[in-house]
Amino acid sequence: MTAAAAPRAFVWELTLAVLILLAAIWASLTSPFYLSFDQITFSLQQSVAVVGLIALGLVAVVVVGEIDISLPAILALGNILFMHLAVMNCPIWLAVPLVLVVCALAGLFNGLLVVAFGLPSLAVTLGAMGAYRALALLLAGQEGFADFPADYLWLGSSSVADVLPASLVLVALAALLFGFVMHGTVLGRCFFACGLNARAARLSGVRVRLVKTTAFTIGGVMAGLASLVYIGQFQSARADNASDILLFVVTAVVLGGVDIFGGRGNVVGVLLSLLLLGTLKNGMGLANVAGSVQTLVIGTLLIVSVLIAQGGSWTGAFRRLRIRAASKP
Amino acid sequence: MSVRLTAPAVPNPSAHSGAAQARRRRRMRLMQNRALGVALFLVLLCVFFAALNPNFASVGNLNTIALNAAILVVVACAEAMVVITRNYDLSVGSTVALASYVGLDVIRICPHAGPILILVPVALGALCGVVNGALVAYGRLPSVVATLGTMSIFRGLAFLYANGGQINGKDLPAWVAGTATSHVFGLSVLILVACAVVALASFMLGKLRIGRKIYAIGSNPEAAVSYGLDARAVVFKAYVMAGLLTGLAAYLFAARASWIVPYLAQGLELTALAAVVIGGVSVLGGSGTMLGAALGALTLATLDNGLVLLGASEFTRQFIQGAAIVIAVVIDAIVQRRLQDLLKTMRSRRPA
Repeated sequence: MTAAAAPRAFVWELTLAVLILLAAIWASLTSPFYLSFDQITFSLQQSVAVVGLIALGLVAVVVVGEIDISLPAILALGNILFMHLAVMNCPIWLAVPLVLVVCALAGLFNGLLVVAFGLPSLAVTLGAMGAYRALALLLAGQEGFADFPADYLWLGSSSVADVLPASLVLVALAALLFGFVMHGTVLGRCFFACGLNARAARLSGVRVRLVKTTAFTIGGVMAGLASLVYIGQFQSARADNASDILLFVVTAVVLGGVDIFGGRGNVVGVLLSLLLLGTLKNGMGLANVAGSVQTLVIGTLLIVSVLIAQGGSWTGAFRRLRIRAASKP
Repeated sequence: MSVRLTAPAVPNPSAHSGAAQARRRRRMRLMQNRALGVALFLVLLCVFFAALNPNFASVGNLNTIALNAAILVVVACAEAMVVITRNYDLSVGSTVALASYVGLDVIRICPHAGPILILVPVALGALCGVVNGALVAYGRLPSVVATLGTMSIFRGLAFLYANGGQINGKDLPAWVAGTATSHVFGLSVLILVACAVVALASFMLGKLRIGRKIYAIGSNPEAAVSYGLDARAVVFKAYVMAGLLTGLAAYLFAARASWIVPYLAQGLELTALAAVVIGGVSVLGGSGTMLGAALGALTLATLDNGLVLLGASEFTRQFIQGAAIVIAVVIDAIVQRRLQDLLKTMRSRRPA
């Protein structure tokens, strides 16, 4: 697989880089305000930081051949927990691990349901999405909260050395860590093995269920991390936070070249696609394009990118489908 | 997944094991008939609510439930058709928004053409179904990704077309609102339409060739293809028919609403999927009935109504809806496994 797939993946990333360049040129042509370091980093932080963290988490889930669409709802749950902890004057060093653990448990719960019953992850996480979102609503009530102490807000609203937004640095660090784990460790190889052919992976000694559950848990942790960035950016918490970012997240993952059937993809591509989406969104915002049209553009990008990824090798996709069907426990 | 097949009647020499076999077969048929379970659950639910709140069982309230359920029944039938082929449709809410806004705008512009214009939103819904079906069946996109994309595209198109505007129900010809308020033989037209849709869709899935093909593809796509079915054409047709029904639902939605806005029916995909799954349609494809999906929709409407009467908050209801999907999916998985085990034991007992 590596010999044949490597050049093609490289082409995909090169295409993304060219597209980013084109999008940046387009943006600077439409608006004189685009080309400024502060504008670009601020806008990227607004549009990409939260989504980027969740997208990285989703990469882990998609690579093992599953999907988790409840991640934005887990983020909202995290927001509300931070809100309650802030009200209770809980110090930040205690609040962060607490929230991360709860979000990890939410992800773990999804993973356990999928693995224990052999359920399709979409159906499970669709139900979980409704349940987590409503749990956040129940915990929060209808009131929003906008009175966070400064140390809760630091990550999402401050800059490192007054240059780079802290949240973007966090995304970069997380991407580095993910890149290392996915492409440089045994666990990462297990992720890809499960996604490519769960049965073969099991027969060669990979504990498929454990690996899949781990992936779901990682997704939950990343959603919790994203919620800390979220409250810093918006300085407020509401239970309906981030109810519309699912499309953006899935598009970032798929546009980044991660195979939606699992087993293929890399973190560099996802970073590039995040950059591309962020630049496009920035440009469209500066050009006063309406929000619904922006969504339309992103939706079209999603479909087109999967069409390209699927095109040419539909027999391969079908074969993988059959393998997946046969390997269902 | 051959769970829908009833095992052939095999003459068994031993009377004792024959009785066991019959018992097992009975148990299997009971499990296969998931609609019965849903109906039982619905009755229990009604008894529960009626005991807690005397207003629940009043004729007026039951009528409200039926009216609320009617449109959801149509959408659930559409969703079920797609789910049976092992796919999903996350774009039903957006399809409803697009078809109702554009369709009703056409009706507003030419009010003299008469009720034949109902076909406009229906056709628009079918068009959305064509797009979904083409992407999933011929573009080979996973249905989740394709319909997540079209969900935003259809919604975006509705917003683009509306251009900040909204349609006042009062500007529409009287027969539009009349659809939702008039009665035939004492029954609301909405309820009659829902019943007709369930009956027609059940007939189609149960008796017509295309319906059996839909089940075959969902049960075992590989076997169906080896058998010579054109999987892509069947999935495509399922999406188009689902789109047709969604278009019809869009018209009914618009007829009931006093204002038609492009953000109509947000989150409908979640409700529709909940109804389908609660109604015993397997998310693994290949099994489930239209009657079950309709009962699922009715259950959701009853649950909603009863919880409101008990004073539960909007969030509690949303939570119950989400939890219901998860529970129904888990129950489905357990039942499927049991059925397969039963089938296996029955086969192994069969004399060689």
